[in-house]
Amino acid sequence: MEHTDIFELGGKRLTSRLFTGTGKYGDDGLIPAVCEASGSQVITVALRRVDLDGRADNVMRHIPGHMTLLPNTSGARTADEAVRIARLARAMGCGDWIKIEVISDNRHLLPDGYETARATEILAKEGFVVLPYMNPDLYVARSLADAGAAAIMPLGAPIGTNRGLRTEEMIRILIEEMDLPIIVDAGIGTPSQACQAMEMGAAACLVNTAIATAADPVLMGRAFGRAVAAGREACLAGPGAVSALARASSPLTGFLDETGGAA
Amino acid sequence: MHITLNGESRHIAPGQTLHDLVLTMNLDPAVVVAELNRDIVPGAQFAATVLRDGDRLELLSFVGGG
Repeated sequence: MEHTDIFELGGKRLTSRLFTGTGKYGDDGLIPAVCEASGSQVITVALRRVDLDGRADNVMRHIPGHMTLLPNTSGARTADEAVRIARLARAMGCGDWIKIEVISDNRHLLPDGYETARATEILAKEGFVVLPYMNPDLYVARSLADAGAAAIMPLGAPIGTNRGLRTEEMIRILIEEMDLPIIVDAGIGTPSQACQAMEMGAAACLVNTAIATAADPVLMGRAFGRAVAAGREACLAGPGAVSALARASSPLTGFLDETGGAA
Repeated sequence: MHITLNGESRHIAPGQTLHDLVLTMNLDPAVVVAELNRDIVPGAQFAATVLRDGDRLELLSFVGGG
C-alpha cells in the first residue's frame, strides 16, 4: 500500500511539498509545464500597477486552475503597506492565502521581522492564511506564531542568490523548537539543497529563481519535485546513525582463507 | 475632468464608470483590482462606480513573483 504524505495547510491537503514561483521566467508560457513536471500545487505571484500601455501579459493566464495562489506583498516596506497589498490581492477573488514580504533593504532584500509580525497579526485576524517570509530568528518565529501565522518561511540565503542553505544551523533550530510548519523560502539553488532542507525536517520548500532561470526550467522543475519528495521520504524513513568510526556491512569473520581453504 | 491613475494625471470623460475605464484601457476587469481614494472597489461594483474629478485610482494586477 502506497504511503501518502499529506501536508495540511490553510485548510488545504497538499500532496506536494514544493511551492513554486512565477518570477524571472524568460517565457511565462513555460509556467504550466513547470507546474505539471514539478507536481507543485502552490504558486506565488506579486501585485503591481497595471501596465497603462496595455502591453504586459497577465501571468494569471499561465497558472493552471488547480493551483493554490500565494500572492506576496513584495514592494511593502512597512506592515501597513503589506496589509494594504494583501487586502488588494484578496480582492482579486483567488483565495485568501498571503505571503508577507516586508523589505526595506533593496541590496540584500532581507525581511523586516518586526514589521512582518505586525502585518501577520492584522491579517491573521482578518482571516487570511498568513505565510510570513523571515530571517531564521527564533524570537521572530515565536512572534509570528503568536500572531497567527499558518507556517513560518525562513530564508536559506538572500532572494535570487541560489546560494543554498547558508542559514542551515538557524533553520535547524527553528525546526526543532517550533510547532508550526517551517517552509524554507529563498536562496535554494539546486534540488540537492531542497532535498537537504526536507531531510532536516522542513515541511516544504519554496523555489522560484533556481527553476525559472535554469537553462531548462521544466526539467529543473521536475528535478526539484523529485528532490523535495525524496528528502521528505528520507526524513520520514528515519536516517541511520552517523558514526566517527567505520562499521562493516558484513561480519569481519568467516572469510575465505587466502591459501584456498575455508577458514 | 481628470483623475490620478496609478500616480499619473489622466483626462477622462465625465460620467465614466470604473468598468468603462478598464475596458477603454484594453484590460480584462476580471484580472484587475481597484483602489479608489484608498478604498478597495470590489469587482462586482466596477460598473456601478462612477468616477469623479480629482479621484485617485490605483489599478493593479498579478504579475510574476517569488
